[in-house]
This record gives sequence, C-alpha cells and structure tokens, in this order.
Amino acid sequence: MLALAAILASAVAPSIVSARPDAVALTLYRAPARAEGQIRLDALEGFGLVTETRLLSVPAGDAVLRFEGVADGIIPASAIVTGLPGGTIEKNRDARLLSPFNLVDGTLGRDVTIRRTERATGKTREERATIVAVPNRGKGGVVMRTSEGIETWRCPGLPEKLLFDGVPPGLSAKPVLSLRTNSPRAARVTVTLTYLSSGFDWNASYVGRVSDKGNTIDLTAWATLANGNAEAFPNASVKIVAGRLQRRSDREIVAAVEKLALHCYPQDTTTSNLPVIQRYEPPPPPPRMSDDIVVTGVLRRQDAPVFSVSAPPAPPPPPPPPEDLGDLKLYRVPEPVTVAPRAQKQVILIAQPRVRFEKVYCFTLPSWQAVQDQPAAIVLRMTNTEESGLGIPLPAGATTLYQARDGLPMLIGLGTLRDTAKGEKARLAAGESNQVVAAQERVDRERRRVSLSNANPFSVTVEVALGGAGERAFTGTSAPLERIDGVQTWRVTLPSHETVALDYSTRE
Amino acid sequence: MRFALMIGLLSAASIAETQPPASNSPPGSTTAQGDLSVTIYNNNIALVQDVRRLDLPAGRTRQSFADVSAAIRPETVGLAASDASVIEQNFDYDLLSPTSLMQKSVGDMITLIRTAPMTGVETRERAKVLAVNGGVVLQIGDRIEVLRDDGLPVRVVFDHVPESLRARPTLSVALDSRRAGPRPVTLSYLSNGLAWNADYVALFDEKAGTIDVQGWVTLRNSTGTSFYNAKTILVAGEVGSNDNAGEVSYRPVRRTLKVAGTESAAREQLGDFYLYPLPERTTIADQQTKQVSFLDVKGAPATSGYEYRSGWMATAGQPQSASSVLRFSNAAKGGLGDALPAGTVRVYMRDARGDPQFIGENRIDHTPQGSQLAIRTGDAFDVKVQPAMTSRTRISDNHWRTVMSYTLTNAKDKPVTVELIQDGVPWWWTDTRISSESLKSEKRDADMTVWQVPVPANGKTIVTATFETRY
Repeated sequence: MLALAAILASAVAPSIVSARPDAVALTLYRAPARAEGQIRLDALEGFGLVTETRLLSVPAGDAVLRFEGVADGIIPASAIVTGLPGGTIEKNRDARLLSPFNLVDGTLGRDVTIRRTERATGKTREERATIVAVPNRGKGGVVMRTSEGIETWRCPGLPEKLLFDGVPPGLSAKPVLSLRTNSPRAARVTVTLTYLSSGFDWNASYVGRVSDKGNTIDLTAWATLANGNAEAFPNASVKIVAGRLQRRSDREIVAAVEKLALHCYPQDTTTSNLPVIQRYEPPPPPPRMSDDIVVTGVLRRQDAPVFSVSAPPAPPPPPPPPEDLGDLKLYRVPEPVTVAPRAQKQVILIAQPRVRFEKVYCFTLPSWQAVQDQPAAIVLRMTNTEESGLGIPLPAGATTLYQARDGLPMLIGLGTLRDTAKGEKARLAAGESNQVVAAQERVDRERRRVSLSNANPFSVTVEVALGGAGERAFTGTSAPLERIDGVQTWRVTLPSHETVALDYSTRE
Repeated sequence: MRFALMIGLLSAASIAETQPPASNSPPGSTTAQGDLSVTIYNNNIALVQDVRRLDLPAGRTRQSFADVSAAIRPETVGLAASDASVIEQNFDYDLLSPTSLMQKSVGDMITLIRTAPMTGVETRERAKVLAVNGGVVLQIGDRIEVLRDDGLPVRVVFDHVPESLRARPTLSVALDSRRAGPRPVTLSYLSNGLAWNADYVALFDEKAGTIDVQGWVTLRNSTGTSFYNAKTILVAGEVGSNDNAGEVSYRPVRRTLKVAGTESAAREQLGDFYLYPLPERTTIADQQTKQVSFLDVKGAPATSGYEYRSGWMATAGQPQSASSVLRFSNAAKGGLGDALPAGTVRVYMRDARGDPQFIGENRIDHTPQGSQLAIRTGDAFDVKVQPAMTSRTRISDNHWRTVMSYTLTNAKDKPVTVELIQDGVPWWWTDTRISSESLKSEKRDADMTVWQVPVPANGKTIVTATFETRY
C-alpha cells in the first residue's frame, strides 16, 4: 500500500511553495472614475501594480510553484512572472476555498464520522456514515447513509456533528496563484512576479495657507495612500502615478463561498402556525465604518470641517518632481515605507511656498432669468508657472484653504483641483461670500440690469459670466464684455461699500 | 495525506457506479471522466467530448454518466458506441434532498428512532408517511401523528433512496447493444460556464518606437466541475450569430480597430475561426482561471499619439485631457504577425529606473492579421484641449453659422500632434460646409471632421472653424 502511494506521488509534479515576497515594490493608481474629492475607504476603486521579488529553489523537470501572500485583490490575468529558467507552461488561479460547504461537498460519496451528543447526559456516540447528496450547491440540506439506513443530517433535532477524515484535494484557505514550469536544471532563482491588484487608491490633498499679507499662499500637497487589502507591504518601494488611465472591468471568478443551508423536510406541526408575539427591540447601533481603519501620518483628515486647528509641524521635504511615464506622471516616495493592511497613509508630495494668486469673486448669470442676492463664489486663481511660484504638475485632489487669525489657522475654503499641467490655470475654491452679491432684473422683454454690491471694507475683482457659450453678442452694453471660453464676461473692480450696475440687451 | 488519498481511491466506486475511474485521471481525484477533449469558445460555451470505456452487456441496458459538467446543456448530448444504438437519453435533475426524500416516501414505511430526553434511551417505531404538505403527517399503528409535533428529537430513517432521486444531475442513456463486451463510448455535449479570452502584455518603448507583446489565453471554469487531463482547444470567434433576416443588430463603433486586416495568420483555421490548441493535456479545475502563452513578439513598431473628440456645439469651462493612443499593426511585415483573439491589452512602460509600470489597458475585438490598431490607454496629463463655441448666429430660417475655437496646449518639452475630431457635424445635409478654418480639415464620415493639429513643445495652438449648417 505504501508502494502504491509512492508511485502515485511520483506522478504528481512537485509543488514548491513561496510563502512571501522577499522584496516588494508598489505603484498606486487613483480610481479613474472618481472625482477629485476624497477617497472612499469602504470602497476603494483605484488599483495598484505590485512587483514582488521572490527567491526560490526550482527542481529540474516539471514543477508547480505556488505563490502565497499575494494581495487579495490580484487580477490573475495580469500576472507576469519572469526569471524562471524553464519559462511558464501555464498559470493557474484556483478559487475553490476551504469552507464548510466545500468540505461537505468535496466529501460527497466518501465516509465521514457522525458524532451525536445526548443532551441529558453529554454522552457522545460516533458512527461512520457516507454522504449521499448535497443538492443545490448546499442549499438543499445533506443526505447520508448510516448503518440504520438513509438519514438526513441535523433534521432530527439532535446535536449532530460531522468529523471529516481529511481536507478534500484542491481546496485552499485563500485563492492561490500557481504556475507550472519545466526547468532544465535545479537552480536557485530570483523570480519577479508583477500583477495588478484592486483595493488601492490614492488622492492628493492640498493644504493652502494664505499669507498674512494676503497675496500669496504656501501650498502643500499630501499624497493619501489607501490599502484595502488584507496583505501588508512592509518596507515597500512606493510610487504614485498621477493622471487618468483607461481601465476595463475584469471578468474574474469571484472566490464566493457557498453557504451550507440546513434544509430539512417540511417541519410544520399542529402548533407551528400559532402567532408569535414580537417583542420590540431597538435596532442595533450602526456599525462604525472606520473601526478597522488606521490613519497614520502627520496630518489628520477630518470628516467635518474644523474651524481651528493647531499649527502642524513643518512637513518633511517633498520628493523630487515627477518623471514622465508616457503621458502620466510618476512620483517616487523617497524612502521605503510600510503600507499596512486596511490602512491609510500620507506622504508629502509637493511643498511650494509663496505662490502668487489672484482672488476673484465669480458669478454665472443666465440671460433670461431674474436673480436676487446671489452670493459670490470666491476663487483663488493661480497660473501654474515658475513666475507665479509653481510650474509643476498638480495631480487631481481635494483642497483645503486656511488663513491665519492671531496666529491660529482658520478654515476658509474646501474644494477640488483637477489634473493641472504646467502652464495651465489652477483654481482653488475659497468659499462663498455674502458680502459681495449680485442681482439681475428684467427691465423689459429684452433688457437686463445686473447690479453688484460689495459690503467689504476692501475692493474686490468680480467676474460675471453672462449667458451661455456662443450666445449672440449682447447689444447696448453699458460696459465692455470679454468672451472667455465662449461666454460673454463682465470683469470689473468693485470698490468697497459700493454698488455698480451693467445694462445689456438680448435684442438683435 | 497518503491516508486520505487511499480513502479517496477506495471510495471511488461509490460515486462512479457504472465504471472504475479512468486510467488517465490523476491520483486523488475520483472522476468517472474518460479521455477528455474540451473545445472552448469565447461566448461562454464549450464542446466536451468524453471517451469512456464501458463494459456493456448484450441487449438493453441503462448507463448513467457521472462527472459530466454541472452546467451541461442536456439537449445537446450525443452518444456513440460501436455495435450499440441509443434508445433514449435522460437527464435527471430530481435531486436527492431531505425534502424530496420525504416527498417520495409518501405511502412508504419509515423508521422513527426516538431518544428519551432525560435518559437517552432509544425507542424504535415503524411509521407510514401519509402526506408531506408543510409538515409530515404519519400513521403509526392506528394513530395519526405529525412528525416532531412535540418538538422532541426524532431520527427519521429511510429504508432506501428512491430510484429517481440523484445526488447530482445525472445523464442516463438507455442502450441496445448487439454484443457483450467492453468498448469505447464517445459522449459529447455542450456546456456553459467555460469561457476564454486573450490577455496581452504590451511593453511599449517610446524612444525606440517599439512594443514587445506577450499574448496569453485565459480560460475560466465556473461550471462546478473539474475536467481532468483534457486535450484543450480554444476557438476564437462567436459561434452564435444573428441570422434573423431583416433585423439589424447594433454594433458599437470599434474605436480600437482603425483598418481591418486582410492577411491570413499561420494558425489552424476551422471555417472562419482560428484555433488555439493548448500544447499539452491539462486539468481545468473548477473555479480556476488558467493562462497559457500563445504569442511572444519582440520589437514590433509602435507609436503613441493623441486624440480628442469634441461633441457638436460643445464648450468646456476648463481644458480637457486628450486621450493617449497607442498605435501598432498586426501585419506580418512591421507588426505582430498574427491574428489577435479578443481580449484585454495591458500596456506597460519602463520608468526612469527601468522598472515596468502600467500605463493603461483597453479591450480589442477579434482582429484579423494585417489590421491597424489604435488603443486608447488613458488621458494625457500634459496635452489638453479646450473647445469653445464662440458664436452661433442665425443667418436665415435654415442657415446657421457656428464658430468654434479649440485651444490645444502641450506642457511636454517636445512637440506633439493631436488628432482633433469634431463629432456630430451634420454632413448628411449636402449644404453643410466649413466656410473658414485655420487648419485644413479632413471629412472622415457623415458626421466627423478631423484635424491633425501640431502643438509645439510647451506651447499652444488655437484652431478655429466656421460651420455653415441648416440648423
């Protein structure tokens, strides 16, 4: 019998397990469809490129290499393995997991031990049984053959337990990536495994501090990195890619775990339709979403806007400017960092002091409608050039703007920033103003009057976009209009405590 | 482990009731499958051919076939055996479960084993099942009872499994054999749950203007059944087609294929389909994703470019990124030199330190050899286009003048060319025209105007055009 087993064993290619990578590099990509705002930690839609280096011994001849400790979000079709002397014959990803259902289902037709416990005495009795049927993928109960005859598991109402002789073949605790190779010789090799994985995301978080003079801001950007995988990436060389990539949905076999349902024959009794008095129980408190999410890093992101925070410590020096990766931008985190499982981390991305900006109060008014007391949107407009103190690619992200008051920073604006290339205009939202308001009245069918008022003790620059893009030029305007991006725009400096008006007509 | 293995082998007979496990099945498995050939198509369908050795007696017999695909399409089953003819084929899916067992036992005797709550003493009774409707009504001697009416534990023991109930959906065939003796029997059927597509790894070298492409076939088995040691052939193409006369099925514009090729690949063909046989027999396990290499080309020419598509009368408040497009060919000369089965192309590029980084992916259709492909990989960070409708005026009742301006910016330190597409131009009216434009355009089809716009390094180009249309 042992000899037979030995023959059988030799027919199977030896299996080499690589438990964990020896070195890992991680490149993070932001979710292509997500807006510039915050990352949703409970549903990370970005992805990562994981490059692992593993040292392993390959025997001569046919062998199966099993890679353990890969990210759970691995897209198996994207896996690339290099460094094997015998190449890759086939790559497999097995998603049959060791679960109660697969344990029972995989034992179909084989013997198990059934242990019954007497409730009164605690005495147990065991007997051998054969599992005869596990219908409907575990949703139909379990039928077995015992020494008495055909019985159904757990239908009698007795404490019954199944004891299995072993784990059925082909089941694993986690989905496994394996690879078949045929090496010409036994060798100790360094294998590089590269794959895409879901469950990552990153976002740029800009913090702007308006200087005391009010004409420049100190702009800092943090890269917020999130890892939703259960796998840790210790001492990883981390890179971040800015820009938007084309992704296609991946049709993967989801390692779904079938539930084993204890379905019995109908068990209604003569009393089972008696009404049951429902006792009211208060609903459980909602689960706290971020219980298992650890926030590390220096700057803490708050859910609700805070109006006063203590001055943060000086940030570390930022990494060098990004390199071009085709039409994307690649940032390198200067030193190896540990990306913990289910955690968010922040590293400094950009630090640009004294960036010049122009503060503009913006309105958009349709030409057909009367408008009353519309507050102005305050925008800090910057040109992304060296002359203005910038001149670097600005990846998309959320912006937070502070202004100091008696040495304490006060939050003045929350907004977003798009991917902004060198030379482009960037704009930071800085809240709304109820001090600068606009109104538009319909003088008659065609004539409109726009009036702007400023209650501030300082003069402001106002831009009013009138009508839609490409709209016919207005006539009878009391001030010159400029077409900006196809829209007729009135640009005016509004002195403090004053009201100015503009008349225009839609008549041809 | 060895012990479990032996148990597995010894109990094999209980599943494969009609025959011992096939000689080529791997150890540890208990399959009744024979010599398997699996042909997998793209649209989630596969043809399984299973040659089993059966010892048939002379005359009529009923043979059941275990370990066929759980996603079998039973109406497609075909069986061929020498000196035997098929009388009927059955696919039994009345599954054995506690409920069906009880329902099939109506009118039969069963054994009840009651355990006394305090003492654990067992008592046995024979009972007749009268009805199974919501609950089980029993006749014990001359009393009528409802099973477990008192909530106390009762083991129900059935004498046997009713013949019509199966542990798994089972295929059974009634055969009439003209002689006794073992012979090969060929079973063939179609199964759902097996599909494949291609996955390409394209490493783009921008400086050299080349790509290295590796092609992998990826097959996925979600049938619920493993196929052991199967000869596997993958067929590229759709076997389901729309032959409904007069009905036009809408096919979206394929943006990846620029020019369809007219070359034949050096691959085995079956009618219009290309075949990709796997080099060795392989086991396709249940819930498995398997990849086998089929293409490895180094240094094929490729270029990158930019494309921007603007909707009719569109104005953007802020500049929009142009799409990065990778262009290459699969012709024998100056290309990949093979037909490409449908799948996902993942594009990588080396960073400054030589490590490959992912730069985007897109899907391609089945692509005949000799085609020109243009794959959109993502948005360009540094190349942007801002379209603006600067004026739109009515000249007369059916004559409108629309002036468009497109601002193209390039923050890269080298010049680029952007393919600027104005979509939705109503060229189907023959009096539509462009009365003036700052760059010569090209009319591509009934609603597209295309400019090839050079944009200098760290600079910008403004394209203006005046469209005269009926509306």
